[in-house]
Amino acid sequence: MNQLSFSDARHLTVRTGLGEEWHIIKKRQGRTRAEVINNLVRSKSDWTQPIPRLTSWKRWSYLVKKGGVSQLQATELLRKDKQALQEWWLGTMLNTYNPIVERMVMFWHNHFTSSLDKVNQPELILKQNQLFRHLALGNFKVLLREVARDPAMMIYLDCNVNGKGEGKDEPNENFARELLELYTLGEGNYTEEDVRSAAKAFTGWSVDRDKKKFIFKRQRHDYSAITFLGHTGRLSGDDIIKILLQRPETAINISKKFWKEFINDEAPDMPTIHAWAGRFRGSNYEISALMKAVLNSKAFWTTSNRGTKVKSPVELIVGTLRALPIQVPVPAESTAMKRLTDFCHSLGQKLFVPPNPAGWAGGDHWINTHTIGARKNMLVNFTHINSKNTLYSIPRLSVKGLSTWLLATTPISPLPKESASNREKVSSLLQDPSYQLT
Amino acid sequence: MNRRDFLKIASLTPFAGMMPEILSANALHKPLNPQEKIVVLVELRGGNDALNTLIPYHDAEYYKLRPTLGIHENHLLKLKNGMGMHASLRPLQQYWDKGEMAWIQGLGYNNPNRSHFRSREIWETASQQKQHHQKGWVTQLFTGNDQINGVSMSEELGPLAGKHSRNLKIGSLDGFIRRSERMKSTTHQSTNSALNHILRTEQEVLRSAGDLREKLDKTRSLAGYFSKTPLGSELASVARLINSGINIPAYKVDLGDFDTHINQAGNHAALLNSLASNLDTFAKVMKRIGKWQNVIVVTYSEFGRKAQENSSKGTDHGLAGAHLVMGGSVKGHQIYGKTPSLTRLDNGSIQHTQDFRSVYSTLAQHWWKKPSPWKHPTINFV
Repeated sequence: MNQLSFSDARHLTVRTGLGEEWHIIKKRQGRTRAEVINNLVRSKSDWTQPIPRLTSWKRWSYLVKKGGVSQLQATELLRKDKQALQEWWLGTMLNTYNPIVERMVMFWHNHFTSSLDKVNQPELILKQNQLFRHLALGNFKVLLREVARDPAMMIYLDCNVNGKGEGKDEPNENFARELLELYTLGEGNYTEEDVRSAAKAFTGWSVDRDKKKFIFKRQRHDYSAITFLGHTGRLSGDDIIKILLQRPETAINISKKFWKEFINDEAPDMPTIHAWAGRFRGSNYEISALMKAVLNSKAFWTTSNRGTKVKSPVELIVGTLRALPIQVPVPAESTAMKRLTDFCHSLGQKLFVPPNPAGWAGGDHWINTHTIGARKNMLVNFTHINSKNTLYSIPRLSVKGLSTWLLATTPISPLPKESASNREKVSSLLQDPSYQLT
Repeated sequence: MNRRDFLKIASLTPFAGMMPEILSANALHKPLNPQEKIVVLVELRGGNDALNTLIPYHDAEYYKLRPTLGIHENHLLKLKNGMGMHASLRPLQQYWDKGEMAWIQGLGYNNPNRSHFRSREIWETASQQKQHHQKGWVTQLFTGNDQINGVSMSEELGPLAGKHSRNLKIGSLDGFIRRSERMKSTTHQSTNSALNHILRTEQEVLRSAGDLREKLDKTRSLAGYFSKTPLGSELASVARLINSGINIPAYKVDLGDFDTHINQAGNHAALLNSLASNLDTFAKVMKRIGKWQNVIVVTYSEFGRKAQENSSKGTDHGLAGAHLVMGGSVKGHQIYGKTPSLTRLDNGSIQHTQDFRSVYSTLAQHWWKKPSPWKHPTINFV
């Protein structure tokens, strides 16, 4: 049987988890691939850090007009809530026993994007994040149907202003377009007519921002017959979703995104994509089945695909802190968690605030002339003198051993001396360009 | 610091205190370098409401469309031809009066997109409806040379985007120089493309920091003259780079959030005030260092907003925008372009009367003296 070498176990652990966690790599080393993968894809956990107490937001104007709160106080409350929520998720990623689940939460956050800065009701973003966690490796059909009714998504993509086209009440094409382009089929697999038809089918799907839930406004729904991807009739929003799930392009599009997440940033190998998509559809869209196909593929294990992806800011920050016992230095007026969310922001991945509906572009886009310096500076901070004592407890390894543990490829810079302290060794390896890769 | 404070300091220390420090040796002793042609792009993030920025107060239709948001003619700054600007732009009135500032109205494009992201991409890359360009419009003009062509002080490179094009994204100037010391010089090339990208970016930082360090050492930070706002510190860095004598043709800064769907009046006024007071400071500093003739400031935004206000005292995503250009070489005191109609609306939005690429054509041909890849007629603002 296929037994995992140290390097195999390391690759599997960093690509499906968060960080070069020594004890997990060692636990998997020597076991069979099948056993480890089967365990991994069965991961399920709703565990999070304790949920922060959030202001019960209704619409902004409601709070300001009727809640007796001034515009300035409301702005401050909202800012605090947003910060608390970001710290909560980052804390969950740092402390979870199921890093693959949080990784998938991030994957779905970047697939079914919503921005806290547009939604402006932190509780709704929290609810969406919990949905992603609950169905992280669950069923994609269920997930898609839930997302289509998710208040945060609906506000982000303007479903709350969605009428049947009388007067200024226009059918909203924003959600319809992203549903086809980003969530399911992918660009080029539908016409503008399909977008308009889908928009009509979803008229009346709306959200009550005060009750924080999905509502169907019957009187605003357009009941006329439409044609969508070759189907003609009085189609409802759920019919549209059903049709989209019948199309082979949906599974192919999701498979391509898995390739980008788990294999590399190059154009995917299409025969592999078709094989994965087949397994995905064949399993009635079980995400764990797709994951299993990915982790059992040749493309995942081939050595030429190791160390070929730039770590995302979250992978770099959370991964480093999960892998190494580090004391993050904190300026007097700040807190450790505030500082970590600031790092995410400065490296270009502000949690819950993706730049646009297509999400963070990822890969090489993470690195520019500002972020490369900011990344290195942060890592210097992590191996600050504060961590002298904590870093004492890392595994006793030769410099070569430390390098094969912490770096995904051969180091570019010369290795530190054996006589150096743990802190000096780790610091030197973390500054190597190879440490930016996974 | 507001404009009044600035003037106070300037007048207390006429030529003795502030001037020699702020002035680079370059500007003091050498004649103006006519080769130095700088554009400072100011992105108004989120879609600025053009109709309440450059206001057609003679048009009764305006007040019908804006029952609560309409600005009475007694509360705006009258320019010419029945057009006025928002009172929050008062700090810029002096530049209008002196002919150093102009407006370009009715800017947009055919088959418009109302998505922030797509429309922003179109404005920043000058792409056609279904095209996707990897390079921003400025990068497209400056290819194949070895200089630093642009610096973005804001979150995104935007018009300066393009992999390894010698356009820099900088957070803080001192931080950029300091952090560059962590990079090691290497000629190492890898077959691993992600690693190669990292190594190339590191080398770019090292090289650019090398280009900048010596010049920056001679010029101190100008942050003290600017407001303590993100736009203020971004402009302070731009001013310092210009003052250092390094010739970089394009800069990008930004201000937001102009996406005023709800309770627009107060938010919009505050944003325009921040824009105007920061640009006023910037212009004053440019004049002091003798670079005002070399600089054009241009605003842009992904779209204007709907003519009709909505039921939340805000405005939704619209189409055509109006933008300002200012600088010592600008042919000012003018409103360029045809005023868009308020009765022939497209889905409630003002339609454009000229393509925004005309602005880029103008800057390319009349300012940078480069052939324009955009075949749109130029505008006479420079």
